[in-house]
Order: sequence, then C-alpha cells, then structure tokens
Amino acid sequence: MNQSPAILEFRNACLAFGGLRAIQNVSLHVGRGELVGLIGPNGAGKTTLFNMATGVYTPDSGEILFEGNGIGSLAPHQINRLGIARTFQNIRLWGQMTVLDNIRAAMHQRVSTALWQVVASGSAHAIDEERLLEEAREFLAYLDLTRFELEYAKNLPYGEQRRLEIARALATHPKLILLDEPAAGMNTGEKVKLMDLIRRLQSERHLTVLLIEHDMKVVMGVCERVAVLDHGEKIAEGRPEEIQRHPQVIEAYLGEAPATT
Amino acid sequence: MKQRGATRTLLVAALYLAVLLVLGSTLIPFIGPYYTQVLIFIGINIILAVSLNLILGFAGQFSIGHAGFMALGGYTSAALSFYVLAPLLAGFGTGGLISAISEPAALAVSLLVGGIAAALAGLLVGIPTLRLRGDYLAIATLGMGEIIRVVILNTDFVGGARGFTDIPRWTTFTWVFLLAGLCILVVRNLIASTMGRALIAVREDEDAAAAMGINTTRHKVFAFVLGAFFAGVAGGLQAHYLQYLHTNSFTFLRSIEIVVFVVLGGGGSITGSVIAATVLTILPEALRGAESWRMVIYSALLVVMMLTRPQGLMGGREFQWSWLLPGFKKK
Repeated sequence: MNQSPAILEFRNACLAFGGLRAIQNVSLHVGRGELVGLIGPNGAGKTTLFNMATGVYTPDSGEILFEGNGIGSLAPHQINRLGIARTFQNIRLWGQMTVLDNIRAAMHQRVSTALWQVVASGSAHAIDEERLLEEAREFLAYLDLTRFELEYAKNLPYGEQRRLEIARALATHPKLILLDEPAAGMNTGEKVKLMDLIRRLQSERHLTVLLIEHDMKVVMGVCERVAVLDHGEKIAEGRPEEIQRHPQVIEAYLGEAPATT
Repeated sequence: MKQRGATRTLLVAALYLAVLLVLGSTLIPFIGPYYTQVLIFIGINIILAVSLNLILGFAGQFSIGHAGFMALGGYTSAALSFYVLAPLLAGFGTGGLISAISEPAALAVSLLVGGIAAALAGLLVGIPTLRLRGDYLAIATLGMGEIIRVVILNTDFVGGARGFTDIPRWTTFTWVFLLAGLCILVVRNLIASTMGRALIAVREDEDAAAAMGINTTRHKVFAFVLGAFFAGVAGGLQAHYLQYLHTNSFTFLRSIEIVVFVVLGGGGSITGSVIAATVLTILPEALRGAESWRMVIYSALLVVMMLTRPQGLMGGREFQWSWLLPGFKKK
C-alpha cells in the first residue's frame, strides 16, 4: 500500500492496562523520510503508541519493527541507540542541568572514554570532551539556542524548552524522531517557526518524523500523511485533505452527526 | 584548558601529599591525641559524605545503607590485617625502617580489600534494588544495611557481639587525608565528565535519560558500587585507628548521620559535603561544655538550617577559586 520502505512499522499491536484496552490491533507504516502525523481525541492512545515504539511499554501482542527488526522487547536506551529519539508531551528536560549539558548528556552513549582516563582526566578524555563540546554547540546553533548555553534548562522560556527537547533528541543522532505535541502552549509566531523547523528536519537532516499534534494547522501544514486514532484503534489514514473530510474522523472529534433524512 | 589534565592532576596530588606528610610529622605530634582523633574522624566522615553524595546527590538514589558498607569494609580489612597481615609483619621483625615501609603497605592492601568487599556487596545489592525508586529504594537499602550488621554480629570469627579487638593501629592522619583527597578527586573528575552528566541526567529524569540512550541501571549500579567502595575504605580506616570494631557503631543511625552530611552540605556539591562533614564532626565536640544540652543544640541547629536553607549549604554549587581571588580567571 505504501511505496517507500518502512522505517517503523506496527503490526497488529495490542496493549491493555488491566481491563482498559489502550491499543487495539493497530497497524501503522511509516516510510523512510516521511513526515507522518498522528492525531485523535484525548485518550485515544497516541502517546501510548509512542511509548510502545520507544520501549516504555512492551506490546501484549503484535509486532513493532524498526528497519525490519523487532524492537518490541528492547529497553528504551537500546531503542534509542538503534535510532529512535523522542520528545515528551509534558516537557521532560533535565532541569538542573545547563542547556549545554542537556545536549552533552544525550551524547553520552557515543563516548567511550575508559574509566581511568576520566578519573585521571587524561588526554583521551580531554579530546573526547572537546569533540563533544564542539558538536553540542552545533546542535544549539541549529536550534537557535546558543545564547542560553549556560542557563539551567528549567529557567528557559516555554517555547525554548520545547526546542531544547528537540535539540536533545537530535543529539542522539536518530533516524526517526517522534515529536509528542511539540506545538502545545506555543503562540502563533512560535508555531510558524516550529513548522519550519519540522520541515527542515526532514529536508536538511533527512529524518523521518512522526508527529502527535492537536493543532490542526500544524498537522495539515507539515504532514504528508495522517493517521487517526480513536479509543485505541486506527480509524483512518490518508493525505491530510482526505482526513479532514473523513466522516469517521469528524465523528470522533465532534460526535455523531445528527440524522439528516 | 584540559590539555595537560593528567599532568596537572599528578602535580596537585604530589603537592597535596607533601603537605600532608609535613603536617603529619609536625602538627600531629604537637596537637596531641584528642585533636588528632577529631581530625581523623573529620577525614573519615568526609570520605563517607562525599561517597554518599555520589549516590544520593549526583545519581539521586536514596540510599540509607552506607553504614552497612562501612561495616563490611571495616570488618573485612580488620580481619585481613589481624589474621594475615599482622602475623606476616611480625615475621619480618619490627625494625624501624622495616615497619616504616611494611605497615603502610599492609594498610594499603587491607583497605583495598575492604573497599573491594564493600563494592562487591554494593554490586550484589545494587542490581536488584536499584530497579526500585525513591522511598522503596530507601527502605530496601535500610534493610540491606541492617542485614550486613546482623550477619557480622553473629559471626564469631570477627568477634561477634563482643566486638573485634586488637586490630593493628596503622591508620595515621596522613593516610586518612590522603584517601579523603583521593575520594574527592575521583568523584570530582567523574562528575565533571560525560559519566557525571549521565548520572545527573538519571537524577533529573530517569525516563528521559533512558529515552536518550543512557543505560540508567548500569549508571546507577556504578555509582552505588563506587560509593560503597569508598565507604568500605572509610570503615577500614576507622578499624585501624580505633583498633576495635563493634556492630553498634554501624546501625542505621550512622547511615542517617551520613545522609545528614550530604543533605546539609547540599546534595550534588562536593564542597558542601566536605564542609558539612567537617562542621558536624567538630560541633558535638565543641558543644561538650553544654553537657546534656549538647545533642539538643546539635539537633536544633539542623532544624534551623533546613528551614532557612533547604537546598543545603552549597545548594549544588562548588567552591571556585575565583570567590577568593577576584582576579583569578574562571575557566
């Protein structure tokens, strides 16, 4: 059904919390380089789907494939190392660390200095630190956060915190980035900048983006394809303009249309 | 700025050792046994506070079993010295020069083994318990500390309820502060490195840390094991100073005391831990004149301190030379 090879694929994924069936038989295909939106009313299971793709939850049944390999049972840090990074709906920065250190800590996985080098602050450690600093500053410049470098993350304005979360995710060198409501709480100007950024992630950094968003202007503005979840089931999928007219989607958001003859 | 990091570290270490040796041979005989003992307890408490700060202040893992690791390290190194090393040294004879070399060597071996024993216990306990968070971890480590204590209490080999006596007296002022310096150096360099940033990230938000590729369990266990190692070394130093060990010195109250050092100094500040351990070791001694009011004043000070500065003395910051010397260039 899709032309591009899948980078992320859900196959009949199911997850229940006790009696609550949070995700029911969801199949979703995200092609390499695509920009896909995931929408649905509150409690539809969008974030749960993200949590399954990043190893927070293990599916009860069904499969999750990343670049063709099953990742359903891997731990979050293992999945991140394969190339999936995410941001969080309720910002989860490391508040008592500086902006620079938020980036550098996310790069930790790719540093392999021996412990004795660290303890003796030897030369291999110094070289690694220099490389890390340089690269971290590039990420900050890319997200226009350079002037906040030595500020504690918790002291940043809201919009900058959201951008820092994206910068931190990029610092793990992902192939696929999952953005959980990146526009929440942003004003119109910030949203325009965000949409531009998301497009640049795709065009300049060749990332695949899966985006949860409630703001329809953002979703319709950037996404090439949109999937709709309701009560843990995928009820529709297609191009943005198709989704806007889809009767089941309208029903999920607005309730059933009154009977007209 | 860190081009010659290792060389600079060595230079500072050598200078520090020289100062300690000079102080050890001039100041210590001059001030007499009482003040020497206070100084040695300060040094031991600094090691305990800084090593717990690594676990509690930097990695954010609420452990109240530090006295248990201290006991394990202390008893292990004491047993090694008493049963193996001391008889061995006696075989060499007790000439001035021979004991001047063999005693420090024996102490070093003994402390290292004690530290490793505590670190192994930390590994064994850490792997299952560090999956727990917050209060649950605190209870689990509390239980672990008590188990170690009770097991030792029932081990006749190390004196059991009578206590372990006749441990050789090898701990000196120089040794205590040499190891306190080493502990501070290791923790400081670790924290300033990528390891330290990963640890602090775990403290700040564990789920986010995992989502950014940090193996959170491994880092928590690592902090726990390294902290336990230094607690074991501190226990060994205490054993070879007092020449006597009893499990009553390692109840959970001792663990709480170390937690107080860390919290009062400011979690995440090595300087804070050093200051708090120093002040809170001196304070009960300085208050001896107040007799029965001594512990009341001590406790009241803690309460006032926590009300006025809940983030601790240093509040996560470190001492900078630039505070003393305004012209000193801040890296």
